[in-house]
Parts: sequence; structure tokens; C-alpha cells
Amino acid sequence: MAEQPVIDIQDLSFNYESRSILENVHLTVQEGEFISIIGPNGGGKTTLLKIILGLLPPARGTVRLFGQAPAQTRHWVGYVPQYLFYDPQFPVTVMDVVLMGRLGKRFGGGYTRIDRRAAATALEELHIQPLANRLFSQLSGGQRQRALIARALAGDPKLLLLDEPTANVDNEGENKLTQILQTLNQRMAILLVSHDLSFVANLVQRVFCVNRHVFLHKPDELSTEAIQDIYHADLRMVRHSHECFDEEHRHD
Amino acid sequence: MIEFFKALMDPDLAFLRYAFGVGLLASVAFGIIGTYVVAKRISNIAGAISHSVLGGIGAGMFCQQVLGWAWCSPLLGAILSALGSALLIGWVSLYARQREDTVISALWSVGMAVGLLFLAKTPGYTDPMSYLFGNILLISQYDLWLVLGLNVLVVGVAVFFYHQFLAVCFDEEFARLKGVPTRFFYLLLLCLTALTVVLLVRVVGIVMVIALLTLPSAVAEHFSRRLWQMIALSIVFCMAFTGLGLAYSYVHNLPSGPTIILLAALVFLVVIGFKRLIKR
Repeated sequence: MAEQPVIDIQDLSFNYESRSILENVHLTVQEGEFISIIGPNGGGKTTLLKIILGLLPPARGTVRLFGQAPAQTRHWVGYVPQYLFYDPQFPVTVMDVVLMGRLGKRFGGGYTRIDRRAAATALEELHIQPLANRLFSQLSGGQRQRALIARALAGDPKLLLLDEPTANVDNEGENKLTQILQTLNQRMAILLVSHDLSFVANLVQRVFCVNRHVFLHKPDELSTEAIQDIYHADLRMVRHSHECFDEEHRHD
Repeated sequence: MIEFFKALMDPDLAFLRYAFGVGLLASVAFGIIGTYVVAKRISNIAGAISHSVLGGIGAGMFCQQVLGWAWCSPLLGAILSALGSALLIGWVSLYARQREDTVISALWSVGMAVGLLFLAKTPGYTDPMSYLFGNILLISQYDLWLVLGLNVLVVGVAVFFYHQFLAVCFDEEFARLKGVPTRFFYLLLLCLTALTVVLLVRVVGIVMVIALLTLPSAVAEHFSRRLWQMIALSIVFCMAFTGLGLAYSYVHNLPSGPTIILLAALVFLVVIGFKRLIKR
């Protein structure tokens, strides 16, 4: 169990109605790693995420989550979705939402004291315990996102998976999020899907760029040429990092 | 109002007591299922299920009277057709999402068409109006027992699986990742909806039952912070609408179904209007 990769994808392909979305993808995430998947919209990031979670079956190749089929082990993943299509009238409090992270393979019944304690701890960790009894719909974008992270944490995940966490968050929220994720990374692997290069660059150890194919980079290797390769477009990059690296950029 | 209470006590007006009792008891199942239907936004599915019930009623009558199957009855036909269409729509929406609305509207009218054809070919005149718009004269003590049984089932399931249903309604994908069998709960919800709809068809009719299922919950949603509060309030509102509607319709000699529905709609509009005013 010890040296088993958290995620292991070999030679994966996925098609949607004869259109190729992902081709020959190889991706491994080890325990304790902090990794990001970036790429243009429509490049297959969300598809890759759903395949990792076993919500979509790959056309070809193998996907292993903690060494097993994703459907068997995905309850160890703390998933933080990008949007939540919910009814703004839906009567549910923050605590109700966070407790959902404790739903396991149980057969009916209520939550135990252990469940409630785990939910309270998760709320504390994200500094939103004063919001516990607020209506979920009354939260701001950043608060709502922290509630969703707390929900993911309440289930004691071994891997935290975040889809576009900076999409609805302002600058201050982004800074707080950075701190939170760095703390959490000390005890679990984190996989973060983003199109926001500046957010990712200072945070993660490795970057997978997805646009049908998957390329692996070190964050400091995200040179203009590499980005252009992925996005197939002219972009101008602003470097936020003040450190200099001289390793070459490579595609493997 | 006193006139209505006198009528309730009148030994000659047993049907009114039964109608009143069925209305109040069914409100429990309606409040619970209605809340989930509104929260999950599947009222159009519930509408298709209720309209397909006419097909079952017609088929039940036809089999009983023309084919001479004594064990067959309109109620059995209604239950089977409601469960059948619930499972069919459920299956389509789980595995062929893009065809969902087509199937819903097809089932909606095909159910009606089948029912009317069967009724036309069954000897003796059966007025489809009493099924479409309800007829409290058709309610018997037997219905009271049926509704009571359904309440036990619905309350039991809703209490035991409260957190699962809440998670499935709020964020189905997350619930599924956590190991909740979301497809099972979705189909279970549709089947319970089907059973609930069948039992109130006699009070408010096929066409309007959907309003009584959704309007009390839509009103309750405005006053609730938790899903269980919405359920409890829905039950109270549903009881108030059926009870008061029935009383008003009796006193003023109006058809009961439309009176109940219009009362519910009126309260819904007032609540929405009031909320808008407060926001300004």
C-alpha cells in the first residue's frame, strides 16, 4: 500500500461521439504530491477529472485510484466541484452541506456524534465555524467554496480534488485558499484543475497540461513556448515568480 | 363554516367525511414527496406520471368488465401504470438524458389517449371527467385505509433515508462519489411519487394533482431553513388547502378539486408577491 500511486493512468483515451477528447494520456500522482492540471477550456480537463472519479469510462487504457478501479475507492477522494447547480431557494445550512461529506456506504439512518465532530473540525480548519448555521445560499462565493472544501475534508480524504477553485473567488480569497491548500498538502495529495497559471505556478510541484494530449511540466518550466504549444495560440505571459531556473522545458 | 362542520357530522354525508379524512391524511404523503419533487425539480416528471394514470384506470376497467378479470380494478391499473411510467422515465433520464423531455411529453399524452380509448370500449358510460378533475363522491372508507398505508410507507422511507435524499436532491454527483446509490434513490423517489399521485387522483383529479403536490412545498420553501422544516410546513399547508378548499366548495356548491387548487395557487401568488415587495 505504501508506495502505491494515488492516481495511475496508463495509455488512456476518451472519445465523445467519435470526437477524440483525450489521447494516450499517462499520468501518475504519488502520495503527498501537489499537482495541477491546466489547459484551455474544452481541452479535456473536466473529462479527465470525471474519468479519474470513475464517472466516465475510458475508451482505452487503465485508470487506477489507490490501486483499484475508481468506483471502488473514490470515497477516499475529497471532491470540490467548480459550480453547484443548486436551487437558490434550497433550504440547507452550511452544516447540512458539510455533513454530506460523511455520507458513506451506510444504509439509511442519521449522523453519529463522530460525524458531527468531523464536520465541526472541518469547519474550524477552514475558519468558517461561525457560518455553520447560515443558509448555504446566503454565503459569498469564497465562503461557499470554503464550505465545499470543508465538506470534502469531513470525509477524511486521502486525495483532495479541486475543479477550478479560483473561478468565483476574489484576490483575497485566492490568498486564503493558497494558505489552506498548503496546510492540507501536509497530510494529503492534492490535484487541482485550473486555467489560472499564476495561481498554480507558485503552489504546485508538477503541472500536467491537458489539450487532448497530456504534457508534464515543472511549474517553472511553464515558458511562453510551452504554453503556446498547449494552447495553440499566441499568448503573452507575465512571470510572477522571482526565482530563476535554467532547466530546459521538455515534453514527455 | 359551521354549515360544513354540521355536514361533516351528518350520518347521511359519509362521503364528505371520507373525502375530508383522505385529504388530510394524504397531505402527509404529499408534503413529504412534494418537497422532494420541488427540491429535485422533477415536477414535470410527476405531471407525466399522473397523466399516465388514466391509461391504467381505463385498462383496469376494460379488463375487469370486458375480459371478466375479477381481480383487476381501476385502482390496480392506476398503480401499475404510474409505477411503470415512473420507472420508464427514471430509466430514460438516467441513461438517455437527451431524450428525457420527449419521453415525458409522449408519456403524458399517450397515457391519456390509451385511457380514453379503453374507457370508450368499456360498456356502460364512465365519465372521464371524474378522473380528470376529481370527484369526492367516489371516495370510500377503503380509500382511507389505502392512504393510511401509504403514509406509513412514505413517512418510514423519508425519515430513514432523510440524509440520503437530501444529498441526492442537493448535489447528486457528490452523493454518488460518496457511495450513495443515487440511481436507486432517484427511482425510489419516482415510485413513491407515483403511488402518492394515484391516491389523491380521486380528490383533485389527474390534471390538478400535480399542483397540489408542488404548490404547498413551493410556499413552504419560502419559510424554511432546513429541508425537514420544508417538509413539515408543506404538510401543514397541504392540509390547510385541502381542508379549507373542501369546506368552501361544499358550502358554495362548487367542484372541490378546482377550489382546492385555486386556493393553493392564490396563497402561492400572495407569498411570492409579498417576498418581492419585501426585497425592494
